[in-house]
Amino acid sequence: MPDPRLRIEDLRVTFPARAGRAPVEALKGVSVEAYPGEVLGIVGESGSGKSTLARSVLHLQAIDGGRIWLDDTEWSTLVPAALRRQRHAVQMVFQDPHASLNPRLTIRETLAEALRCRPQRPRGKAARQEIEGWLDRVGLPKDAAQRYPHEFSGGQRQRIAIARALIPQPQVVVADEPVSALDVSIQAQILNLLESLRQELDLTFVFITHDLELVGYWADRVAVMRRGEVVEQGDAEAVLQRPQHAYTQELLASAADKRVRY
Amino acid sequence: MPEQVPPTEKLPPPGRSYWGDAWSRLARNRLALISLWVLVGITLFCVVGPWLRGYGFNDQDYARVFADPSGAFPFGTDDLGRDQMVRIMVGGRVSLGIGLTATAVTLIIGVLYGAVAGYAGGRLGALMMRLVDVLYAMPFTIFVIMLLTFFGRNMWLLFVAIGAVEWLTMARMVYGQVRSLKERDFVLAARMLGQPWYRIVWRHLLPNVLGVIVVYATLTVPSVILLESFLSFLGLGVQAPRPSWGSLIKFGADQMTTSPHLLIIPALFFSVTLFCLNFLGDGLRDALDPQSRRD
Repeated sequence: MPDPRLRIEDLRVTFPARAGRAPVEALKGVSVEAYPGEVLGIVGESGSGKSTLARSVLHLQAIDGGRIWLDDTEWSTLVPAALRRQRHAVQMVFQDPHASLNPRLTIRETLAEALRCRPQRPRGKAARQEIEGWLDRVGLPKDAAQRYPHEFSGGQRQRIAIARALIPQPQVVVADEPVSALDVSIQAQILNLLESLRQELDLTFVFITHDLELVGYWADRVAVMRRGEVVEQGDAEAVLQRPQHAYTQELLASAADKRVRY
Repeated sequence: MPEQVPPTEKLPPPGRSYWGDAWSRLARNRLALISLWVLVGITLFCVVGPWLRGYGFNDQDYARVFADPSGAFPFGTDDLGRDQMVRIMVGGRVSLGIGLTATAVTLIIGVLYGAVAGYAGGRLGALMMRLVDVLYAMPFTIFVIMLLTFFGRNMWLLFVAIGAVEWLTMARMVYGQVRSLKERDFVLAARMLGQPWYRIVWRHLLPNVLGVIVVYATLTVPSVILLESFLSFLGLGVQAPRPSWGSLIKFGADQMTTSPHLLIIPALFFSVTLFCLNFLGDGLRDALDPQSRRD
């Protein structure tokens, strides 16, 4: 097996105590790896620490222990100047496409901001063409550029958010519940779009979801999280077909239950 | 999974921008629109009027003291025979001028302070807001009286004194808004893209609190005018012989039994202006407030 592209070792995050409440250990020593070109699924209920994990990898959440490696770089301890140069390498697609786009900026302005993140950023006409090219790639017409987010549907906004995450030319993309806010009919379209872009650009995905079916559909390997810990990880097929840990079995059983009821 | 070219999505015809949308909402609010025009009218009256009127605000004529309203003097004259109309115009310049200037001071200090405190958050933000609390606790009237006694009466000092009090509320409001906004995903996305903090504040946070700021500013103008009138009424405001609406009303109140028009007319100008500003502020809140509209 090749070296992992993203390696998370013993990651710990604790939210400090607030008035009358004990400190919350959101991540209690999480270790996972994502290999180049694969889709690593992270499954768990809400509150299991999935989103905290995502934010830590993006440097949006300070960590209290452990390390994150991106290839040979110790990602989690980069000093601000170095981080600024390398930030483009890890990007994220957020869960709620209604909250992840600034309502006061046109799509062009939002995407131009992503373009600024690239180490060599195109300017002027080249920048324009790049933005229009990306709109086309995610399946939106060119004239989407001068519109505002409220003019788009949830699925269309998520396409814009995907373009924003990919424009900086990242190596790793963290997708935090990228389709769970969307209609079931749109979910497949968005996942197919992500998959075709993964193949085309040789991306590594960390796919965070609570939906086991989606993990089975897209992920190559799976880590199951519960209360800030990884209870089981391995090949997606193995974990979903022959779960070892009691919690995974429980999750699968309740998912099967839901399906019967439909 | 088969590789698949995503179907190109169809879009509805272009909609309006946020401001265009807000404007059409405001235009449908008749009360706010009328208020806007009345305010424009009063402002023009006060700004242009003194040049067209043949009298200065301090031109005295003892032959015509306490004249009732007539053709030559539509608003009558005061105890020194000065034309009351031009005095109301000039007083309006002072009151409206103070309203705008002090509100501008409030806006600049309050918005910047609140936005920085809100974005910094944590200990620094909390410390900055505790300072606001301390200033809040100072009794305003005593503060202004002290200021004016130590430094002498001066119109600029009046602006500073009023601005220094009014920015606190603005700072608090912007602080609260920014704090909740900065946890939103689009701000996280901007941080993920490595945008520096000042760009995030300027492009992502402030434009999204602008609606609330505009509304609050329109409501600050009348409260500032009221404060100035209150101070003039106490004799702490604008220096005689220069009039302001507050000092005209105070003078009118003294002559109420003999020449009621000296009270009624400036009071009318003052209250109509305040009403209009409040109606306009309400209308702007309906048009701009992000809470009343999901997207």
